[in-house]
Amino acid sequence: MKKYLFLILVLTLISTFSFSQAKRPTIMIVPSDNWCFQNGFIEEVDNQGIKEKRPNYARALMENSDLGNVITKINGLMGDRGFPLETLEEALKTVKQNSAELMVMQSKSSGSEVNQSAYDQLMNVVKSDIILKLGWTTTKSGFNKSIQINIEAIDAYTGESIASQNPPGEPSSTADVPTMLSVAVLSVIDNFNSRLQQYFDDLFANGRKITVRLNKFSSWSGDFESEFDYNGSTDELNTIIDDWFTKNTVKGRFNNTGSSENVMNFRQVRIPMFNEKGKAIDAKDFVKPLQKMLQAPPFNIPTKLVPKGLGQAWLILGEK
Amino acid sequence: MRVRILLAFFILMSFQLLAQKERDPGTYNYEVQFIRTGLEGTELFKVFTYCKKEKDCFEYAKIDALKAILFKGIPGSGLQRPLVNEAGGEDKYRDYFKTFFSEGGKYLNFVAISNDGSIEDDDRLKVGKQLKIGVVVSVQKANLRRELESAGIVKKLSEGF
Repeated sequence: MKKYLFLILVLTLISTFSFSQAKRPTIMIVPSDNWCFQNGFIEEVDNQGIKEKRPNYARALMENSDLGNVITKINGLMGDRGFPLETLEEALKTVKQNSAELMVMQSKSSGSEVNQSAYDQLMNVVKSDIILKLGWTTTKSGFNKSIQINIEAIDAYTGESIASQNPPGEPSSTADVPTMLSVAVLSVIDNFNSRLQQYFDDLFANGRKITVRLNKFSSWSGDFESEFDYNGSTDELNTIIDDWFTKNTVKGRFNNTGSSENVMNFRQVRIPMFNEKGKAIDAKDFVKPLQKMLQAPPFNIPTKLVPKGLGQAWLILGEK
Repeated sequence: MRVRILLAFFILMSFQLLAQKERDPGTYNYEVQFIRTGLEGTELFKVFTYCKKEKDCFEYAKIDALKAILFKGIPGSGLQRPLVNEAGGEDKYRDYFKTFFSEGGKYLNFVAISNDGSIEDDDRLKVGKQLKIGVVVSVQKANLRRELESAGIVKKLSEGF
């Protein structure tokens, strides 16, 4: 009997510990637009009559062996720090599989094709939280050449730059490009990770940053300016939702970047890393109580919650 | 009587020997310049240290390079921010670092004299009664970080996730 009690205790402790771990952000590395343009890895696409130049990641990986080597090097170093990266090559394969589906998808209203950039397609497949944009330039001066590497981490949901490094490279007349690139990566990675660490520290101290968008289905007769009696006062729905965000964000921090009768946009919404039960939460988990509140009296609004990765959620009012 | 004199002599000698192990406070000044990043997680620095005997400068250079990396950060290098970036970390982990930097301590696993200890002529100066010598050292920063992570002094990047 004692044995079973002990076993239950151990299992409970293990499950509590595993739930108390915050969701680890996923990171993927892609060549920067600038590097792709400089090295001719671009494609011209017709975006509803407008010709646009876009980076071609698949060709860049296939034709530039240095790019693959640098990505492998950074992946190894990040893996060593407990942050293995999402593989760009694998992601591109999935994009290729999905592209056939996308080709036949058409807009409901105009009948036009769904037109997504390589970056958009990639983001839809990988849903990485952090994107590392990588590039480098080689400069020649006499017999010497030097490589300046440029690496920037971007929060995929807020678009915010988290960390960046682009120190001038050491000139050399003897080293080959792969060796110089390898050294360039090693010279930036610690400072880069130090910035990343600051960003993670900020997440734990001030909460995770997410984006929330509230919309309405056109079939719904109400809107965000509809008035409701709630908690003893009559207010517009947008005021009630705004108050909900003030109450539920870390230190009441969020930016309402635009509200109208049809839409409410919240950016830089600081949500706690864990809920009151100690479970790690993401954008969807954070918005769920708001959804429940709106579905209950006095609002009685059917809603549809659409999670977009860990850091973004859309709540659409009026239908399920 | 002779025995007493001999005993007093030995006691004085032992004090003298112990005193030699302690670093002269006047030699705590140092300057660290970043030279370059090597392959596989090493960084080269030139450390100018002050000493009375040249061989002491070599030992001081190893310790000073690591202290700069741990508590100050080195501009222009791959370690611009100190590895121990917790406020008051040097005091908080005093016992650990005392053992770490003790004679024959763990610090020797992460730093080595480079260029076979050869000193350029311009890097050997006489400053008052002391020598100022520029010694090139190689630091294994990746291994050093791992050691500090396993000792719980430096946070792992994935900590908390």
